[in-house]
Amino acid sequence: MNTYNRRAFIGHSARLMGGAVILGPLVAACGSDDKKTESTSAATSLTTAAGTETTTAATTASTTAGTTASSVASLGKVRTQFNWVADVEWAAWYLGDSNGLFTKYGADVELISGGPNTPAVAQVLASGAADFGVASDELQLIQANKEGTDYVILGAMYQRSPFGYCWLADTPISTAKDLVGKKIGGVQGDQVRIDAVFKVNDLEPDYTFVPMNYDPQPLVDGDADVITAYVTNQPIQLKLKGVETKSAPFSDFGLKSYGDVLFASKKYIDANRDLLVAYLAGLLAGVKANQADPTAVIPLLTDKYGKDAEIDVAYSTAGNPAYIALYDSDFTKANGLLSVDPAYFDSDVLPGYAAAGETDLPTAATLVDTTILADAQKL
Amino acid sequence: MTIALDAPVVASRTWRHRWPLGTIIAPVVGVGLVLTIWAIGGRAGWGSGMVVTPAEAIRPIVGSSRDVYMRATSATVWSAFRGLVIGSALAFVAALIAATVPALRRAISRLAAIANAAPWVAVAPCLLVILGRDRGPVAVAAIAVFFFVFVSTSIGLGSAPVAAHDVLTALGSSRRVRVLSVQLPACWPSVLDGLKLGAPAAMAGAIFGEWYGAPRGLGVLLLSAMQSGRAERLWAASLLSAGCGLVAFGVLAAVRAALVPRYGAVITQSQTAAEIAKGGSRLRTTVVELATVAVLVVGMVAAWWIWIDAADISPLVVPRPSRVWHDIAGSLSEYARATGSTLATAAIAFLLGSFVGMGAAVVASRIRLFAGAAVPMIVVLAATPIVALFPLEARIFGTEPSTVRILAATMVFFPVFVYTRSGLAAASRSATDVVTALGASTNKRFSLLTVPAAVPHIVSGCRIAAGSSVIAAVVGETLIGSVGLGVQFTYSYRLLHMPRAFGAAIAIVVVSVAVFAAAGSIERAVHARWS
Repeated sequence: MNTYNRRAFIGHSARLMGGAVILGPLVAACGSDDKKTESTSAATSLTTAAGTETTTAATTASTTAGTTASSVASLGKVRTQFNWVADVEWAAWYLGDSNGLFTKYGADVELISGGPNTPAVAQVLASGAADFGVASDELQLIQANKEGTDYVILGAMYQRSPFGYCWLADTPISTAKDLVGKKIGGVQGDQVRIDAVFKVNDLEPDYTFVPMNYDPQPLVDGDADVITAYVTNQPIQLKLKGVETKSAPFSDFGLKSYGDVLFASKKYIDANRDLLVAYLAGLLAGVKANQADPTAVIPLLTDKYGKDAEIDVAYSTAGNPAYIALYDSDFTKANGLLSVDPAYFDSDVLPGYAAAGETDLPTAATLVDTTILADAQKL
Repeated sequence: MTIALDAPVVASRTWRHRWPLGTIIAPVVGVGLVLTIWAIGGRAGWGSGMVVTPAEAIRPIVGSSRDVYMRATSATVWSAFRGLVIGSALAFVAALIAATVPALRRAISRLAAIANAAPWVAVAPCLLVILGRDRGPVAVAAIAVFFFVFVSTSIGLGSAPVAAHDVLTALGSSRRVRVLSVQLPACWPSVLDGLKLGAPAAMAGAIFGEWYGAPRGLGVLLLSAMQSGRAERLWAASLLSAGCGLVAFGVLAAVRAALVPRYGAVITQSQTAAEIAKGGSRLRTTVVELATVAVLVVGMVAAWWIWIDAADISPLVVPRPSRVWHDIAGSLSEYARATGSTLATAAIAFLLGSFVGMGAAVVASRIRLFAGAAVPMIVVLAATPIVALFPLEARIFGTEPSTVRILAATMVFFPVFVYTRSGLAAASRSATDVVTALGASTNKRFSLLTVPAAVPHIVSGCRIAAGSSVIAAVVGETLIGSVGLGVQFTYSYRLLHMPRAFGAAIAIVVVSVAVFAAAGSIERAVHARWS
């Protein structure tokens, strides 16, 4: 009835499938190479161009120029891993990268964003995918070092961690005692810090944990009385939507810690000391640039670093000043921005974690290295 | 009772051709109905403002952020496509090897089930170490696709009629020739069933993979929408993802429909006469089975140990097998409690999802209008990544345990629906004509012919659904659960207690494989009875 040749069809489909098996990985390899070169900050080509300009923000116009007189020869590249997506939280880095502040001292940077499923920054560094990391606070590093890593804290972006509680404006909460018996919403893993807040205040952890994700709606709906949040993020987002809230970082509740702690492994530090000094000098310059003009980073965020993340401009404009307010403390007035006080670490931060039930805690002498930042401040 | 001859049959055929109810009018009416309800809901602000009108949902895609959305869509689709190609190619080859080399069949089948059961989140650090961050979306998409295509190809390769096998064996052909000339051609409709399921899964996998820190994609947009609380952006990204999944599904469904007249749609497992004779005692097969599992487990643990030492993997990324073992042995009661909770959620999700899936497929087969309207909507639901659905479901149903079950049921629903639908259409043409000619009513025809022909398909769909139900429960728990293995995994992982996290992941795999194996033996029994 039909002249269809079964044998030819089999041969045909076998070749097709074979081709797919071989072609697939090839295609994957090609595709990902493109992605890799794109995510390597397109900024490196722009920083060489903008090397002369240090105060005005660079635009996305691309011109390639060689290194200018004010940049030094490159000491190497520092792959920096953030713990979240592109956000105004990383303003100092964006300004530093875009204005050539890092290359001025001889450091090339690659800024790598994270996300909700990204492994912890400590893990990313342990797997060799990055060199320098930002951790939301010290606890992650203490826990990582117990598993055999050798991380060292070099400084901190924020003198107080913005991580804390947020509640509706008419809920009466002001001290830790007011949290007893409440429904506290958070992401899995926050229980450790919630318990710590109770214990540091000599209270028994007595609350109902409401598992949440990244949507603060349970607070608005009343499913939770209080939620864990960054005081620089959710309260501002909710206010922009017309919901009045109050918020306070965990430090105000007695659990003191630094925020956006800067760290690297001891092995890397010993091998790349000069590069790290240059890197931190560039970062310091970025921080100062952000302080001087909080609006400068917004176009960089929307047009370059976060262009595929649909940045919320209203939030970013309101959030940046909130982050900048966390830069300063009495210690930084005397010792410069980004610095960590080892004495404060031993006397205030570690006892908080001890009260939380953490054992085998290190001391500032082993966990904190202030010399690199000190050298960077001299540059 | 008069015997109805050609006349009524011919008349109804021409009537259908003049008014193509199922193919054109029904979808249009159905989609229109859904859009109307959606618009009403959006205006009324259902789900505390989570539901927006269709116009608002489309605005981000066509408005000023058009470029961002287009770039994101092409990035995600490209990752999903690569994942689909790689995953299905690997699955096809694995199934082919399993069919050609019977000694390996059990082992490969177990490995496939294990690969399917490994929770994506647990695989993250390992993937990053081996493949690098940029290939995350492709890798997760491939993993998501592998299982569907593997199972459906295996089913397809077993669906050639016994007679054909016997003829070739009697003529003295080798197993390889039999596979190439009898089993392979018969498997295409089933392979395409698997691809139909795999395409939306590839989209969901690619999006999930982007949450590892990809620079762009629909997953990135979903996240920023969730953070900023902008419901319309969430809908826009979800619609784009679902739309792409729908297009892929449609293309594959059309290809499959074209192949069915050529290759038939029977999927019962067949055994050649020689294999039936070689059956062997039940005790012997069980012993062989257990031996295979033992060898596999020992092999994998050894490979794990060697890999950590050889590649100098940090204990922060992958812990040593000994530490994981100590954790499991030392906290058995906690593991048992979590396992019980997850199994309960999986069971409820399976029952709920299968019941609704089968019901929807039956209604779709009886009422053409419903079929035309419902099928596109259901595919849209399947292609919408669960991560986009859950904020909506959480707001509608609240952040409580029952929502986890509903979330998981949503993931179980789709395979059961697809396979039941194929099954209900599987009754052979000639048998249908005979029964109609003898004057049977639609109901009688349904119960005597359609349902028995559909049972093997339904059971296969349930087997896939059972295999997915545990993972579905775990995913639901990871998102908003408070007890279970998914919660145990997420909690330990966030606190960097790697032995506990890996222990939970292993428990998830073991439970998932056990459930899948049990469902497999039920399926074999049903197929044996029905062939």
